[in-house]
Amino acid sequence: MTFTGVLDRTGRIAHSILRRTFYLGAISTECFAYIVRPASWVQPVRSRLVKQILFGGVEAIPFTVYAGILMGIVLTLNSYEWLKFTGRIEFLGPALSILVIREAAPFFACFIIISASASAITTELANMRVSGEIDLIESHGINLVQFLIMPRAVGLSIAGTGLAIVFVASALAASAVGLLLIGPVPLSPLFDSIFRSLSPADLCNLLGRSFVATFLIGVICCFEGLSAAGATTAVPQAVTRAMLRSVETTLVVSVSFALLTYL
Amino acid sequence: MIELESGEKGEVILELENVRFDSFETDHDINLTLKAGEMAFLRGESVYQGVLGLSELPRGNIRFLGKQWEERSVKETESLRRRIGVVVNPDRPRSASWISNLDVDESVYLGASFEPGRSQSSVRTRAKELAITFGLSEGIPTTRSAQTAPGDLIRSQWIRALLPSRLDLLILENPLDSAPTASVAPFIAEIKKAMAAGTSVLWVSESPPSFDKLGLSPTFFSNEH
Repeated sequence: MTFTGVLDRTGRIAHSILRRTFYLGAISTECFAYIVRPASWVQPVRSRLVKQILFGGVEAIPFTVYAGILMGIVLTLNSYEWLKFTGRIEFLGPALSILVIREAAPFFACFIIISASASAITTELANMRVSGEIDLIESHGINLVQFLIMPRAVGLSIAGTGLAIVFVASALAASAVGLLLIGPVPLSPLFDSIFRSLSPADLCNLLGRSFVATFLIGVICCFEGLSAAGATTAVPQAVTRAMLRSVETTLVVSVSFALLTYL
Repeated sequence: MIELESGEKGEVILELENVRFDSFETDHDINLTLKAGEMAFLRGESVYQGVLGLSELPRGNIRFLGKQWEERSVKETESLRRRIGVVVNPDRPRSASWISNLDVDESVYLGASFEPGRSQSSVRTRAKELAITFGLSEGIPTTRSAQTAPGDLIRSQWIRALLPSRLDLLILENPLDSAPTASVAPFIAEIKKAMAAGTSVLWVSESPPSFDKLGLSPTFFSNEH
């Protein structure tokens, strides 16, 4: 490939990233404008918000508890063995605090939201677009951001934040049970050290990463779903794009929050 | 009872200038000026997406209340679309008449729920009045559209179209399809009432109904196929 070819391709990729970021920013800003205006919360919007919290959050609680227990056991056993090997077992509390609360919980909350809700939202909206239902909604003079995007994005962010907290509780409970079974680690000082090692930055990181990333996942999925045009073959393509961009956004938000809160 | 507001007498509501719709087989342009309280008939399948500026026309311009949709802001467009009632042709593919993840009653109340300052109770009261008028004695169906009888669906569409508190234009696409015979007369009476209040009506169907028998007289009649 020639130098101009490389330059052309780099320019195209940069343009595409900038365009997507611009759209994401514009829709998110419009969502916020509707969120803060009480008149936006008409009955169908409130109803959609409740359904989104129910489907995206409440129904995912059993799986989140299950994932939290498994991850709690894995992280506790690994940390315990390594810290015992290095002779620094007194750092088990802070290690679990970092691994579970700071890193695993927000990541798994986003992961569960992407797995359970992202594809569902994108498929639903893409099918509505292809079948002409979106035109029907617009014919009533209804703003799509207000009725379709905002309640879904807010619902997912409330669900995602809640799932992160459920994950922390399940993982720490599983850690306690695991430690009781494998070693003579007194639980009260351990939990004391976990909570003492938590800083406001950790809590900001946990809640911020879960809330912001899942909100953006909601916006991305709605945008990709509503962008599907033409035949039904556009639906799976939209779902694939939404899933990939949701994962990408989760990672970018994680890095941004890590830089903002710890540097 | 809500007092219907509509266009003033003589006001031009809708203008079609050299228009062609993609669902029409005709190779003639349509030129039409529809004033408040007037009715026009177009022979074809569906026009609502084109008339409301939701899809691009193969040819021509459409002006609603003097302006094309492209010349209006998003807020203005949304506000004006709330003043248009639509009965969507139920037989046309890729032109949904119902929202699949809502019950029929939720779908009927949807548009009116977004009217600024209009309470949910007033929307429901007006919808209930219309349901009784059209013979839906048990009210608007609370089932999904796929599980609802065609006769109930078309009457629910009539209610949805007549719900806006200010109605400037009614687009009726094949509105008598699957309608129970007994409910046609009350529906026509509601149309006449709306027209008397200044609402314009655009009636679209593949074959024209017997307007004489219905007691309606379109001022524009496009019967070309």
